[in-house]
Amino acid sequence: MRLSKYINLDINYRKSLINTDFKNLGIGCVGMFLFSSFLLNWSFHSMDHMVVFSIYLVCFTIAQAFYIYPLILVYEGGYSSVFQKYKNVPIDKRLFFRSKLILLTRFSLLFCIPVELFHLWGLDRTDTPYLSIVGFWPVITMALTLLAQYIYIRILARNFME
Amino acid sequence: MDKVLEFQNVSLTWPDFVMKDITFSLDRGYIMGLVGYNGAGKTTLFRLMENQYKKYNGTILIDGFDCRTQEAKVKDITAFISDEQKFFFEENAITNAKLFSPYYSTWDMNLFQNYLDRFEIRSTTKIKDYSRGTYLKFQLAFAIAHHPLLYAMDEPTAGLDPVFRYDFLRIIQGIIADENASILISTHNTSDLDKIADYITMLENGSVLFSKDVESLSDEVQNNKNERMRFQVSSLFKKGRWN
Repeated sequence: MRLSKYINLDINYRKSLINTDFKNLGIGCVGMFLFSSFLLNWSFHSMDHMVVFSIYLVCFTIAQAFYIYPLILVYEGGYSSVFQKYKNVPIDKRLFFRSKLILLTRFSLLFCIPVELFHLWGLDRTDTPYLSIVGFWPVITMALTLLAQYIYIRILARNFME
Repeated sequence: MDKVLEFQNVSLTWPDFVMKDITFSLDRGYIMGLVGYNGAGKTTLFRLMENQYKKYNGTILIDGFDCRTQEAKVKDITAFISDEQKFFFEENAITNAKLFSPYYSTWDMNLFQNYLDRFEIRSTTKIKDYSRGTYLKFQLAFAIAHHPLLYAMDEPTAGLDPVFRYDFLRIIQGIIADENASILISTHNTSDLDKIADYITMLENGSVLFSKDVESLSDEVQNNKNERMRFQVSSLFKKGRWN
């Protein structure tokens, strides 16, 4: 079975979950919160750099978690790893793991692009140059949160991947 | 004969448990009973087949495929049946089948549905609401639907009432007749094996005490050729042909 098939099966699996609407609503709320932050930034013409960075960090972490957790955790009284459910199923474990990472990365990129555009627009209103670390904060935050999520998924799948 | 399962000199060393030189095989179309006291290594043997433990010596082959290096193929042709919560318990039978079936090469949804009906399992009930017996039947229906060559059952009848056990034994005899598959079944209810098993393998402290077909085992025990074996078999099989 090819990687694209694994990705499609993961998408179908996520869609089949009853509580996906709640997760999507959560992602929407995070997006709205970020947008409100940009509006505030625009209204007051400046915002502390570290505050902006922290907002990005929190928002990216929460949005990614809302997206990926249905794919890696299953609630049965308590949360447990979805990888354990597939340990006796004839799957290519590496592709199965990789498909989840690809979906997470794809979602993060889609989430990051509008945030980066708004961020650059916001920079225009403060006197920060585009080509600076501050200009790439959304991308940097995305990379950091992706790394954190990757480590978490790796820990969840440690027995599965051995 | 065509061997479905082969353990070749399998050894495993843990600080508190040692498995030594496990060698036996099971031919296609037969039922093998795996017996032994608690801690003899029965469940460990199943875990080795599931590839949960990889650091062992020797080889385990299922239909010629190595359990360690060809795991996906092995799991495509083997049905592991146990008490473990390996399905989505918050979902119903059909949803579980839809989630897992695309990974199997020979899945038959109609057959799965037929067996759910035959076993009188309501397909809309969540798995978590099944009784122990119903969960076992559901696992069997799921297993049959992907046409495995080997059913590996780790104490499936433990804690079930005699009537259900009788039904279960009838079902697995039917599987052998219909599917030409083999069954490795571990149990403490040895009177069950008396009715269905073609071969008996007994484990003792992590090694194989014997692996024989029931007729020759019965003869050996009756003729008192091996005192230790007679004692072990008699103490395990309280009733039946070995006493």
